[in-house]
Amino acid sequence: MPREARSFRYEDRQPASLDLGPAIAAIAHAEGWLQPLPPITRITLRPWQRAVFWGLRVYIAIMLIVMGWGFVHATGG
Amino acid sequence: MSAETELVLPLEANPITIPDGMEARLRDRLRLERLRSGKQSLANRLALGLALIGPGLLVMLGDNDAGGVITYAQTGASYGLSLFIPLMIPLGFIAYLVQEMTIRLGAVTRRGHAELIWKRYGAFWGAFSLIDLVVANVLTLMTEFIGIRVASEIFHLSYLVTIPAAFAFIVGILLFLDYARWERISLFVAAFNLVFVPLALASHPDWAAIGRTFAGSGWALPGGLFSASFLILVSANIGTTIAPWQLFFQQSCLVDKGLLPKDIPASRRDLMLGVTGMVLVAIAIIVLAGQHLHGLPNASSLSDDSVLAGIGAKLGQGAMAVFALGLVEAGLIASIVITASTAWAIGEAFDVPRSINVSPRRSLIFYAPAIAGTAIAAAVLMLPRVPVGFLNLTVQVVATVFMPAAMLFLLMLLNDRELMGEHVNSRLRNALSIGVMVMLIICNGLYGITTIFPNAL
Repeated sequence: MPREARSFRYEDRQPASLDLGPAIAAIAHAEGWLQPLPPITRITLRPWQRAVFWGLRVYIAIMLIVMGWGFVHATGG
Repeated sequence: MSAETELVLPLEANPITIPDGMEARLRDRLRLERLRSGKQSLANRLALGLALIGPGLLVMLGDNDAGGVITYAQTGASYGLSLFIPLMIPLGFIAYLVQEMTIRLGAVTRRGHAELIWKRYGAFWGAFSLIDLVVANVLTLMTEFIGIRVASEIFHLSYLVTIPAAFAFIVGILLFLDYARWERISLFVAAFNLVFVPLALASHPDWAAIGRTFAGSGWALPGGLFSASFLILVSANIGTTIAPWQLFFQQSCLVDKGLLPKDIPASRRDLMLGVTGMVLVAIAIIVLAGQHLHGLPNASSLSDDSVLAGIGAKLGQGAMAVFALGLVEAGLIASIVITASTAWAIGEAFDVPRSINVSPRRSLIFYAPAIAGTAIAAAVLMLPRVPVGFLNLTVQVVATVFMPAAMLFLLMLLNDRELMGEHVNSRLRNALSIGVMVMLIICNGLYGITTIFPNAL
């Protein structure tokens, strides 16, 4: 168990929360919250996807320069 | 680096190990389930409906931020009762189209947006999208604090008090509340976004002129379709409607709320409610400014204080005070949700416990960078002389500049059958989304050309 983890038991809790134990377990099981999420495998971007992303990077750089230019001129800087 | 809690249940033979923060999420799920399976009374159904709203309303009302409010006012002041009023309706549909994709992505994968990009495409492209998000978020937060700073001065409150107070509130609810309470308080703040609607109604709007804008009246553009002032306002209005933080926010918010594929219809209704609110508020502000501020000099670059002064001069001190309250609220709710979007994205990127249900002692990396980003934005606005006039509009346009790359990641994930199964995008939705991306690039490109070469078009 990780260092930060803590353990507690339902019998240690305030009486108000005692009845939530089975109900929480039931919803956790029913909705699959106790199952680990399926792993996500890494995929490599296709060449055209990489080209589009780099194109968008260049577009962002150019537009930021233009915005800066517009900002300086509009504010009389 | 995941903190986990060993939860020993009385009826279980073996202890169940759940991730940190999961217990609060399970309690929220249990409450929903009890409402669903309870009596079908009006009160019960109302309670269920209220319990299911949250991410969609927050993202769209947070979208009407302080910068957005000023952008709408600049639009109304520049063009009066014009085509921008009917334009808000298709912009609302665009917002729904884009944000609905994050609902399906979050509910089906149970993972946040940044996490999916990092795990599916690797750290390089993950960092690529995260840097865009953080830069855009810090810039946007500056416009939120501009709104808070200028509006609070209307109430003779020094920004040296109000900006730190707003910062403390934003950070306090993020750090010390669980998700459910954070969401309810944020929704309470967001509800005040609607204050602009009664204000516009009380200003005796010219209903006939507003109606005529839907039939083509007032669509003539001084300066023409390719004037820099028109193109920047179009880009800025799109930028106030869809922005990268919204993608990251809604998906992660939905995951933190614990919504599942069976909740997709309810989440769509939540989003539609938010989009309706967003469009109503935007039209209200454009109408207010279009009728009462139209013709002011330098209308397209009015600052927050010029807008407030104009409202005060035309509609009286009471209206100015209400508008200022709305501006403070707009800045506050946007700062709350943008700060949360940064926290979730960074938590997902660094694979640390990433839920508002997690105590700050257990996940400093989840909270600290987001708080630092908001602190930087607040600190800049604490400086005595900040050039705020054109900054609002610029930041809105910057959001649209980052948007195509963010949307491309979104589209790739939504077309990934391994992740989405039957919930992949339809061809029509892909075509519409690509159309939005192309439109953003064209609008910004034209704005860039007219800025550098004013007589080129």
